[in-house]
Amino acid sequence: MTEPFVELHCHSNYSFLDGASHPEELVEQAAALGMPALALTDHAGVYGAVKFLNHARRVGIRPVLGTELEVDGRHLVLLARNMRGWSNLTRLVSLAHKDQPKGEARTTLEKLAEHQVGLFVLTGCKPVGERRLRQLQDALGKDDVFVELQNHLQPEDGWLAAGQAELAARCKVRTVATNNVHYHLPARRPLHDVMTAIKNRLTLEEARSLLKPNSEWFLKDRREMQSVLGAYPEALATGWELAQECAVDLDFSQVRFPGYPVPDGETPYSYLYQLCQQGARERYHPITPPVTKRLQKELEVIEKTGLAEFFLINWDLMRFAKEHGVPGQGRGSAADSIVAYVLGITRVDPIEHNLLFERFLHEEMKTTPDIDIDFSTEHREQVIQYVYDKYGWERTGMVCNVVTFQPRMAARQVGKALGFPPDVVDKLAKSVDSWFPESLEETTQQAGFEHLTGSAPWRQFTTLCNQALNFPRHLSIHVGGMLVTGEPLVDIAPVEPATMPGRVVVQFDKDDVEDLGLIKMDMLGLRTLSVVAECLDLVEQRTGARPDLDRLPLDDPRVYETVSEADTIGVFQIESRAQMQTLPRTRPNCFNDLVVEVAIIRPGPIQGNAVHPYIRRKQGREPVTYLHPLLEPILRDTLGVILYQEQILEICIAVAGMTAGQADGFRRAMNRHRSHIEMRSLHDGFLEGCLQNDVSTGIAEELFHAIEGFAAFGFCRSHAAAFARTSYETAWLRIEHPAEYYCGLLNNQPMGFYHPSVLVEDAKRHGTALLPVDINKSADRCLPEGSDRIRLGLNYVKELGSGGREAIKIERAQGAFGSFDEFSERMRPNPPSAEAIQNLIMVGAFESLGTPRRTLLWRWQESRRGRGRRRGLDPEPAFRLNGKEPDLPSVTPLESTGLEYAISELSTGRHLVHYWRERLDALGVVDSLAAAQVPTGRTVRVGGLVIVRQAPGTAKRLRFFTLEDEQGHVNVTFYPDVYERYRRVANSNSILVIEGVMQREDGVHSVLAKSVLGLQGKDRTLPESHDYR
Amino acid sequence: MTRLCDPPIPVEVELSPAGAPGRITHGPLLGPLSPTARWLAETDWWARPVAREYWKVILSSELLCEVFHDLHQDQWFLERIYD
Repeated sequence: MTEPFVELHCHSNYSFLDGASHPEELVEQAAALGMPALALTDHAGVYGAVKFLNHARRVGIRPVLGTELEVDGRHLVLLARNMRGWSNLTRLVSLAHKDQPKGEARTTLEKLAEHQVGLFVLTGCKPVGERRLRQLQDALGKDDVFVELQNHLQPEDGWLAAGQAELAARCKVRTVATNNVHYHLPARRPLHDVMTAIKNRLTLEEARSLLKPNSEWFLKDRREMQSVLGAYPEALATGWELAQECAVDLDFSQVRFPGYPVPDGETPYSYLYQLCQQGARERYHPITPPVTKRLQKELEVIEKTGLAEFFLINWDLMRFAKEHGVPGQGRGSAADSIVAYVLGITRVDPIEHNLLFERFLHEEMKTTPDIDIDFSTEHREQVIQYVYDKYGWERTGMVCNVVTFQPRMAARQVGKALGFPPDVVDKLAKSVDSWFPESLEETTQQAGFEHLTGSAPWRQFTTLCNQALNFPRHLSIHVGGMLVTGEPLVDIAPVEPATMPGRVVVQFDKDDVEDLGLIKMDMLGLRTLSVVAECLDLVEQRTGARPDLDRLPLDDPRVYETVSEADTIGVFQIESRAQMQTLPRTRPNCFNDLVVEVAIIRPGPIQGNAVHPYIRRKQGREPVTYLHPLLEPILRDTLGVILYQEQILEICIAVAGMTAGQADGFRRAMNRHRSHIEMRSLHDGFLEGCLQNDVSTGIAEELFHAIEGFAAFGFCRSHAAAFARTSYETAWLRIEHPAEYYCGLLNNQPMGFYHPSVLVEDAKRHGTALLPVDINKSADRCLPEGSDRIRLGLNYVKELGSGGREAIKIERAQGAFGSFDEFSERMRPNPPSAEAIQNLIMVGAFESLGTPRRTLLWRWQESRRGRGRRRGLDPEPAFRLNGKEPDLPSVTPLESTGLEYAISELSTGRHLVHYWRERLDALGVVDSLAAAQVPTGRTVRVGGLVIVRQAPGTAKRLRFFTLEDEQGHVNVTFYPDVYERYRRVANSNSILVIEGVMQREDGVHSVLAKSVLGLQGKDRTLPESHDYR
Repeated sequence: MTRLCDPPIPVEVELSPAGAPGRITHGPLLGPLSPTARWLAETDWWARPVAREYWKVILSSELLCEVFHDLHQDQWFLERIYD
């Protein structure tokens, strides 16, 4: 029987712009060709190795892991034969990246020889000369070196292959046939060419000499390889022979923990046990039997799964954060655990909120559970540094983030490669960005290229863009994922230098790390925590007392009242347009309701129709029923509707009789893309379990389908609870300490859903006055003046920057500025930029010193560009005022507001729409307050500044706008036909008048648009609306 | 020396059972062909796509030539003569 052909030199798109197929596509194609094994040998890395390995296992072919590395200026393919070989390979790749520019890697034969154990070495894409081959033999021994024979049907390929075969025979080195694969199918060749052009920043025309001459670099089967290299049967057989010797499973289970130092006489488990007992005494007063029982149960599971060290590592992290005043809290499924709660990792009591531990961890779990911790964005770096110091630089690295082609980037780069004119490329790319079109075809229309649709270049463009989507583009660092290992990191995965000095980034992304069961700590930056911390600091400064949020009762009726009225701008997680449309319907009146709110107002549940049944039941319009009595205790909190992942587990355990591990496996399987066969097996297993519990087939079927529909978007209850707690706390702070809270929001931008101008208007409507920037009163950040006023900080003056703010702060510490002249004089050693000075003047920062801003600006500009300079004298300080100014008119209130919008992007005085009111009145426009009283079904004209434009994927081509005026907001809904008619005017104007029909339901109103009038075009001085989908 | 036929000269070619060019049956040069090399050129797919299968052949046992099969037009051409 003929030996199968196995490809051992194969690039995926993880060769970053030098491969045009996903690893999974290559694996699928190999399987389709009957190839029993396949190697992945991307350039200087193993970025796609885990995905490749997993998929190969899934489809049943043998994965061979390797890389193609530059050694002494020539490429060699290295294949790992075993785990020792893998470690050598990862060390070599790490060394090759060290001290090289980003994205480049090179090493020497000497280094390769030092790490050759467990590696096969193939001679690479270019023919090797005798001298070099003998060098390789001398350094690496001839048994592990193989000469590659390739034939891509280029004119010289035939005799080159013959020459290489002859050379190999002369040197007594074996040959191996390879095709240096760069895509799985010939049809991907154009994409590969485009990637080559993108890589070299050229158009295809310009890149011509760099492109491959034909489409032969695809994955070929035995017959195709035979047709070009049939003269070398031994070379064709070598691939499979070597593949069978390669066995790398990437099993790091024995080295995943870095080890946590525990006191003498303690084991990690005994120490954890003690800490938990101590934590429980602090958290619970008194410790009730359910607490003791739950704690004991969790500790037993942790002992059995050997995860005590993992908990200690996370406990230690939080301890560090607490000791150093870094706000932090666990999120995600970790909040299901009482151990995490008593250790201070999470802030939600799993007993009180009925959270299921098994969603987080169970005895049968093979991977390490996820503990995601949010830290205030400002302080996160401090914690990362701590982890480096604690576990050592050798064992710690940041997880990588593979930046992939997204629609805008694809449109821009593919368009450029195809040679589209720069203005066309720009228009296309911007069109993608501004409105997130559903397809590239829609982009054409958006950008005004309708006439091109259907043309050959356009078809190429859209095909290539679609193919390029999600292709790896380059490597970046993951925001918070840290890998900590028991063995030196370079033995496990290659590392590359990160931009920050001393930091390294691992060539595995967060999914890879999870799949390998390694310990990853997710330290995410959450600006809301910075807001809360700053708010609490400011309250403490003003009142002398710091509110203790850990002891905050979660039952303040004022919180639920404002939340039910959708008065939630600036409140964590429940401020979005969709949330505000739901809150008056669900009217949350307890913490549990808030948890539901956080969990369900998201695209998944909306799409899966899970929202409406819950709302109807919450409103009492539909009876709360349960498919089976066994479901009542599980679904009681959510009124009989499945809303949380934990509930699926509970159903599987209580109704289908599964173990926790089986239930979790079932949940995960339902959550993934499943084949028909897998689905049938899940279905049958579930039904069988139900029948054994005397649940009828009909009900079991219904239940299975309910779970099936939900599984795709299910939310973790504990995560929702952790977030809901922060929602509650922020809502409470906004009511109780508004000035401090709004300061926190304004000082931590960008964050949340709204532009600062919207936050400021919200503050004003709630009785907190905003005071303008003042050179003597404004600090570098916004600060409260008393309990109901906020002084805008210097951070809201464009161009001033942190350096300028600091310089002013230092100088002002010597005493207030008495005049602009004095300011100029005193700031001479360290003056802010001219733009910053101009902005300070024009925003009115010197107004309190007496001179009107226009006069001041005249004088200042005269001093800079005036007579003195023209004469070439200019001996005076740059800011010295000279000359007499003409009589200049004062800045009008409208101009003042316009200047504030231009410089600070908000208005401390009147809302911009105030100045349009007369015109709006003349047009018959009602303000938002009056609009709220318009009965449903009546035609109404509303108008205001557009603050939100939304095109949610969940609402079939509907568009939602929010307009803001002096009084508040009005929501507007566009049906597709109306939107199409008014698309341009609606998107190109900042102030709109919209006529439509008032629609009102459960206290939520929205105007169904019929016609649109633009009052003021988009202006760079006006704040941007939040356009999203 | 080689002579480049620019533009290439259309010829009619009869294929051998193996699919290789076997004989030029119509054109300025006629006779049996013995292929010595084959290569593929596919380029300019983004503008005017070119897809050619080239053969280096010995015509009538004495003249080395290059012919190609234009895969888009399904037409054979004589492009180069080595003399």
